[in-house]
Amino acid sequence: MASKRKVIIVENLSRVFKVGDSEIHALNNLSFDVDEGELVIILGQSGAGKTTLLNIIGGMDQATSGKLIVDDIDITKYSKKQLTDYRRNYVGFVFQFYNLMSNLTALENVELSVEMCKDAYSPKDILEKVGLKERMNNFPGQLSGGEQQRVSIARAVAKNPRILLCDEPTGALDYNTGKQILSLLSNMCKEEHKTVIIVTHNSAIKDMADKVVYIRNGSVEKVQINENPKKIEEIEW
Amino acid sequence: MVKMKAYTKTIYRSIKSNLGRIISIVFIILIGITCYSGLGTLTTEVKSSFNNYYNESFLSDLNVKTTSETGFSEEEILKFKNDETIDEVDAFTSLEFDNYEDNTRLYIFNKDDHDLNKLEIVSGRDIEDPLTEILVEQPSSTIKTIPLNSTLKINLLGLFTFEANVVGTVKSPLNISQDGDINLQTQETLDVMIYSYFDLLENNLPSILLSQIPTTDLYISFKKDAEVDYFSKNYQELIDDQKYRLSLLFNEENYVYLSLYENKSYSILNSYCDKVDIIAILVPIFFLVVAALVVLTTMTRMIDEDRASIGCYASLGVPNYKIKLKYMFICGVFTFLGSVLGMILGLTILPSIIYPGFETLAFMPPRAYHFDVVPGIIATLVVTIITMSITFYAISKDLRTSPANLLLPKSPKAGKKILLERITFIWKRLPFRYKSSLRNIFRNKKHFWMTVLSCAGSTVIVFLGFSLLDVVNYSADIGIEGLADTMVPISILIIFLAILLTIFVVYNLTNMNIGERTREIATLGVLGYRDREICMYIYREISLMGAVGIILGIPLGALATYVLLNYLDFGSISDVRWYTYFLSGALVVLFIVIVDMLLIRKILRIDMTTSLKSVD
Ligand SMILES: Nc1ncnc2c1ncn2[C@@H]1O[C@H](COP(=O)(O)OP(=O)(O)OP(=O)(O)O)[C@@H](O)[C@H]1O
Ligand SMILES: [Mg+2]
Repeated sequence: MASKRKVIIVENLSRVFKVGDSEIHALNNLSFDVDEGELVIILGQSGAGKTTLLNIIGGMDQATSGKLIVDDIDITKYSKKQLTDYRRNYVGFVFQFYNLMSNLTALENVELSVEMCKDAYSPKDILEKVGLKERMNNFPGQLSGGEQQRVSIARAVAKNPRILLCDEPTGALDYNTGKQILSLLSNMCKEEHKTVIIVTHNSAIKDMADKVVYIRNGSVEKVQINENPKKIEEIEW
Repeated sequence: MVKMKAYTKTIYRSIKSNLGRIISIVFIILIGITCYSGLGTLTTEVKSSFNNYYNESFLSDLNVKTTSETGFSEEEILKFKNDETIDEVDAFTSLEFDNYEDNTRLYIFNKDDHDLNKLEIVSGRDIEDPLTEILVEQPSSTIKTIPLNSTLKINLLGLFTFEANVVGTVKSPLNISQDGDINLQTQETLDVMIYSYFDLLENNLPSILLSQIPTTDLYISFKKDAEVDYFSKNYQELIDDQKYRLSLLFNEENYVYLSLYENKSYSILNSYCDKVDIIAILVPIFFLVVAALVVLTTMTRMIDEDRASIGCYASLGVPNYKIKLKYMFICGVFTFLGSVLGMILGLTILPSIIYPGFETLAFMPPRAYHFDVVPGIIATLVVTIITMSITFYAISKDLRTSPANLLLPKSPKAGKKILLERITFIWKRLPFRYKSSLRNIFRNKKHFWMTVLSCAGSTVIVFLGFSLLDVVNYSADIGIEGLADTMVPISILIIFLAILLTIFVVYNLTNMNIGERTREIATLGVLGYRDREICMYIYREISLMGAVGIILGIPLGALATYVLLNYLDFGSISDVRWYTYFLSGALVVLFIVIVDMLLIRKILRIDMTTSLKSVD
């Protein structure tokens, strides 16, 4: 276990938002790291800075100060163009509200994301993997929330990214559907050897993670390592 | 009071966040109304300038000629003078003859009896010594230049020769056009027109000849209550009635009655004004239709985008009329603002640009400013009422659905396949960035048609402007000089306004398209699409619709030109040069490209993190 490579190292990361004359310190000297193939859950109350953190790791936002080392490179120094390439090749993003293109079928939504990626998976295979083989040609409007989220996961995974980032992926779903999605993400992590970071404020699911990062007021409160993560099916909340 | 403040605040916010499209609405309406009121006021100004001039120069209403060898007798003249309806009679002699190869007309007036058709001295001076001095008509494209202070040799009817001093050149109110006048017998264009007093002949001719000079002409003016409008139907009727009455009264075979309508320069000007009027009515219709279409598109799309907040207000119990009022207010105020500005520009700047162009057609009197606001107001009302009613319809339709439904995003018609998808072998081969664009284009029919028609309308007016210029230039080439030359500035102005309108239309459509698709743009950004790829993804759609619009617009433009020329009874569609068909399409393409370039910044400014936060 100790020999595992660190994929992400977050070092004293800060993000300050300026709103008018006031400053909001969304992230405050935050540090932690993520191993390769690890399933990390980031827990924290609303407003703790989880989304802000995930956006920075995903290359969608830039830190005010600190370092964010991904595969030995500090991406806080990246230009806008480099960040685009980083998003394209390194990260898959899953949103709480899916953000699918409503005019594209499930399959086409996945194709949209792999179109410009180098080592992408076959969109059809991935959709089959998330259990949507029969629904591939449906439009988002014809799919349930859980199904849409599965498309969104397929879209993120099909790029074959190093890191899969999920912001409240079950936030808009009911209990059972939520469980299915989490199970799917956990499988992606284990079977496809992806590094997965899930942001949530549901502390009950923390037992499924290899590592839990507790965030409060933009700082890491504590990091907890689960030597024996539970299967999602064993967790009730 | 607090509530009212919140309400005005939502209006203010809506205006602020939609500023780009609201400004373009104002400009689009402005251009349409400028075109309408400006072209409409043009002939009114030209006509009233001439009316002023005619009135000031005591224009005669009739020129009575006699073909009798002996001319009018004293009794005959007296009979005219004693007629109750006649105000003034000038008796004079007009001789037309070949004077050393020049087609010449010599006017011989009686010094005490020369009150009508006052001559305006253009250069030199008036006659001081009637025994030796003459005036000549100012040079034009037909009338020869005769130097001031030169001596003119006159060979009168081939009978007698004498000399006279040219002391001034003049402009006659009966001779206002460059095209001059013709010899009434030979129908040949006159080269020289000489104005003299009887004294000149007395001084030069032997008395035996002098007694044989007949009084050939009478200028007559009728008694009128007020200043006349020489271009009006009333005046025409008055003259026709009088001609008829006089012909019965005198029952003279020898009399010929010439009115203003037989005056060459007047008829040229009048028929030209009629043509400008036709352009002034037809062309702005296209501008206004495009303008109304764009306002409509903008308002309905704004209401579509505001669905959620409309639902929110409705669920909070804000009365429907207040929600409606907000959109009606925005639509009404900015349509009105654009109209007023358009009317100001149209009535001031536009005629100032075109009025001097009339110089090639006629010797223009000083411009009479004529701020006729009525056509502008009518157009404003029509446009405002149409756009406001459709805005009202759109918002009322939304408010009929329950607030709960409004709060949900309008679900796209689930999975409806577009026609092209059924042609699988083509569809399969399309890179799906095209599939996405095509689906987007064809899924929202209303959206599609409004965009296509706006682009088609823009193409139509650009085409109309250029083809009119072609026809006008062609007519100038084949010799319809005066008329064609005067139409050139009008055509150029129409082209200019059409281009301006097109730019705003394209800007508005593209700007709206980007505004509606911030979420898609942000999603593409998250997926790692490069700036160029994102812009292409967005622009592909509007470019495709633009292309359809242009392809539709060119034949429609040709049709519009055909109709216009038909009404104008001038030129032919075949005078339009072949490359105008491409040029007008290419120009619209160029504007789409320019606007796309300008709006790239707007696309790239979209922030991924904030755009994807909530459901809508
Ligand atoms: N674009 C922004 N401008 C200003 N302040 C922001 C912005 N984004 C986030 N913040 C602020 O930063 C803090 C952290 O926000 P963030 O969205 O990261 O919280 P979160 O932990 O994801 O909360 P939640 O669980 O509610 O999603 C909050 O106080 C928020 O108001
Ligand atoms: Mg969040």
